[in-house]
Amino acid sequence: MPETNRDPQAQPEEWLELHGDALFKFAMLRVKSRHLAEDLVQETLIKGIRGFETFRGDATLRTWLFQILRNEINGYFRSAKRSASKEVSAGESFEIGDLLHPLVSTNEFQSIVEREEFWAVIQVCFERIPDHLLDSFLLRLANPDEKVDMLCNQLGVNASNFSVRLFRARLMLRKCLESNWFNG
Amino acid sequence: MILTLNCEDSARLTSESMDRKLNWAERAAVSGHRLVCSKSRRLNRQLLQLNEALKSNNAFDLEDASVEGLSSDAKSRISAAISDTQND
Repeated sequence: MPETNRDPQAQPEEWLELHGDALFKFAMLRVKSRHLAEDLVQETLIKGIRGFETFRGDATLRTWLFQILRNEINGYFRSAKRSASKEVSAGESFEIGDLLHPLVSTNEFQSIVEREEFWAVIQVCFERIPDHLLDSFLLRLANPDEKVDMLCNQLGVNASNFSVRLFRARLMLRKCLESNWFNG
Repeated sequence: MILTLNCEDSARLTSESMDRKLNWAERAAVSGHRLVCSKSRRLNRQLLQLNEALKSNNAFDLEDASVEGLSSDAKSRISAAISDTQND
């Protein structure tokens, strides 16, 4: 029942059921820790309930909750200073750029992707993408089967804007992976 | 369009192909451009490979590959925390 997603009258008790999984999946992409993602979802819902008077209904409830979650996530990275980039020292070489070598075959690519370092670099690269682009990119990633229109509503951007953001984020991510290789 | 497509448009359309089905003219333009531009061949393939890799569950969690949503434990915990707040 997607219509209930945009029902501002939905009781706060139902928010967890209606939006919890979507918020969680989105948080997981940024923080990669189940525990932390659960905490972020909990904080988001509690902040939403406390601040419900400020919800003006010009966005869907889910969009509004996502805004709160994005603030929570960004706040986490800022204040805890635990951004993934700290966990990966700059001097380490990852050979991830093998991925971007013109001659890399699909099989070789698969074996690179299976390596843990690949995902460490991806996390570092995520942190280098501006928030508004990353939000679009991660939302799309977390909902591969969702209609793009739904996701636009969720973020409150129009379709062409959304598509440009995805494009720019993808280019930046690719670029970041490539520089990790060339500099590593 | 085949002849006028530049590298950026070709990459943009490749990106859009991940989110919607391109129409035949767009598909033809992208393939046409790829034929004559090795830089775009490489870039577009990388974009697609990256997309496929990220879509695989590896992107979510290395130990626990299935992230479908909140576990029922987590839901009860969050639900309890929410009730606590509301009773403040």
